[in-house]
Amino acid sequence: MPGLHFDMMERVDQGPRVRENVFDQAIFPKVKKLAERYNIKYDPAHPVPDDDAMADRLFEAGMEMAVDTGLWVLNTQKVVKFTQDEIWRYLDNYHSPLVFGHGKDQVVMYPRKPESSVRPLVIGGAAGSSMTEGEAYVKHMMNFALEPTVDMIANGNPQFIEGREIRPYSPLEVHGAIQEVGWIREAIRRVGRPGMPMFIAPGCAASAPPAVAVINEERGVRKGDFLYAALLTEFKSDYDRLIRAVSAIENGVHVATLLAPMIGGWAGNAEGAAICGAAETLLAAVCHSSTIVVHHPVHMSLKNGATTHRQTLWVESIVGQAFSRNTTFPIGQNVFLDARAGTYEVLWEAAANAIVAVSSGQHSGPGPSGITGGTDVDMISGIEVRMLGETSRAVTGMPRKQANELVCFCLDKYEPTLGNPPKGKRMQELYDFQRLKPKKEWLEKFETVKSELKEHGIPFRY
Amino acid sequence: MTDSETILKGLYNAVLSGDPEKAREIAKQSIDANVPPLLAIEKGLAPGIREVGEKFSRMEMFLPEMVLSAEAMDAAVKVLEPYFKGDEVAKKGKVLIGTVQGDIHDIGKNIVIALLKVNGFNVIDLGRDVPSTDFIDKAIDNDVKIIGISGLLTTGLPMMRDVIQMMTDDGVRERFKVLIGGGPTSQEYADKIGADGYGKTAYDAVTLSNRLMGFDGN
Repeated sequence: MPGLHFDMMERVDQGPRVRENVFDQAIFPKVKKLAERYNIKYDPAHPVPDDDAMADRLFEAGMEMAVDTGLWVLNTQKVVKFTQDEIWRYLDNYHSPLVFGHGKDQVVMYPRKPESSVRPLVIGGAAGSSMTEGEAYVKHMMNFALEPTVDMIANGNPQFIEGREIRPYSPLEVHGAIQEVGWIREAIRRVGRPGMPMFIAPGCAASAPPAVAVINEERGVRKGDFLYAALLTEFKSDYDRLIRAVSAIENGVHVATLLAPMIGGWAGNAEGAAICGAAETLLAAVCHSSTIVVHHPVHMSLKNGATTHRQTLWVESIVGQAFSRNTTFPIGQNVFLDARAGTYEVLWEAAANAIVAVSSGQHSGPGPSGITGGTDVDMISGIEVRMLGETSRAVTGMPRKQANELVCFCLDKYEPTLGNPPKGKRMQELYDFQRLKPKKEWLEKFETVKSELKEHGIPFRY
Repeated sequence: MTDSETILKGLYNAVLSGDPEKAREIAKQSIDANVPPLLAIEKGLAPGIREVGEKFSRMEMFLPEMVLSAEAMDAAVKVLEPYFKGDEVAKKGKVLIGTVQGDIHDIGKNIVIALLKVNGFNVIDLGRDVPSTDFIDKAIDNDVKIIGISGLLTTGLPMMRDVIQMMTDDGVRERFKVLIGGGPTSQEYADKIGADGYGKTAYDAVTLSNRLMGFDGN
């Protein structure tokens, strides 16, 4: 919405100082009362709840929390608040449907509802996953872009640039980020999708300057692409993130705001995380002038930031339903997996996330991915993206009741190893990296899981 | 129930319910009632904080409640400390912890801090985006035993190695134990850079700290 970032720029240093610990510790008592008052209840047997009234109540609880809590800005230690009217003014004037990308590769994002037969967009990629640089990185990206179910492409994280480690605040961050996005542009050109919309949080960029340096029509992030400006857990932003948002907006680039309510953290339990998720989505929309919010609930017990814990699946679903039932504002479901490429578990996790997102009225991805680094590099492949994309297509229009049964079926397959998954393999071991074809063993695992899902009721057409 | 038992129960409940005011008030009552301060801690406060830690591990309590419980414990201990007669509260040791330079994610670190505190460690929180040199300088200034380095971004990994390398260059490597944790870290990376431990989960930080300080099994 035009000018909203002007309001934000003005409000970041208005009002009294609020100490961070005071702000943090006020969250849980509030969400606890709201959960009780609005009767928001987590049911482990229903990771995909089928309760429209509860979804609507969650939306109201989220609105109340958003208006009351506001967003804490790290640099000024002040709280930015928006009124309910201001939030509704943004939501009501949100343009929908929206077109992203360029030329023949443009995609249209239509608003969705729970159980909607409207096609969800699939944002495929590997945000957070460490990858080898250079030609290998290009090959990774080509692999994702070659999947026909993928509508938009998200980046992975090169750990080195020309063999040098990237350190925060160093010039190498800027150089690395520019190279990284250039490689993605090269990858989509090579596969014949040069206008494919990109969803970018440069892996080389710990700070704002490199994230902004990648905005470039010729070789970087273009108008019609996305740049990330994530919130910090819970209800926080800072100049770094606002700089990314403002730079994107004023260059015609869409803002995607990621938020990660944590079960076990300041939000407390699953119900608290759902209320925080709903509230932070509203604040992310107005404070960062976001085109889309990427919802990434996490559970304290899972180190890799996986979104596939039973409780996080529930949070994803209920927040997705709350928004899709009450607004046209889109939510993407970040897909972070606990297991790694080459395992059955990673495929079950990807499928579960796809089913949750699509049946709950969201779009699928970005992902699948998982935080890796250090010695774990290239632990992601196109087959997980294929599972996410093909499952997303096949379950479009599926009733939530059926979706819930399928998600529980998937959980039975991977939940026993959650938190301690089997070690996976590198992409280079699973694929003919030259021809970008999965090897027989990995493809057979994919077909096995897909076949079981089909037997359990997913109407895959191919 | 005797006065003493009532006071100990009151301290236990004040910690469990995360009520610093109550904890302070009952600590004062314990002094007035001549309850030995060390007894007040060992039989009143400590069981309360242990129960908090266990409830947290079972997800029956959450971070904000654990923080309040730790504050309640601290509030009571501050009242009791002047009355120790040569007795000293056996804290397990000092841990210094921060999020690595270039990274401002800190929720995982904050959970570790709360867990360490409820498990008897003195914790110095350096906050977020901490320059590598600060980890070393502040560790020396505060005479800590353990340095914990946390990070969520892959760009933080070389910074963790830098801290250890700088410690070696400064000739102080042997003075401290270094633990790393956070999304992109791993046991393999910890081994590669010469860290003393890697915490996959927040609880691992406590287990490792206990082991490094010789409190195995606690």
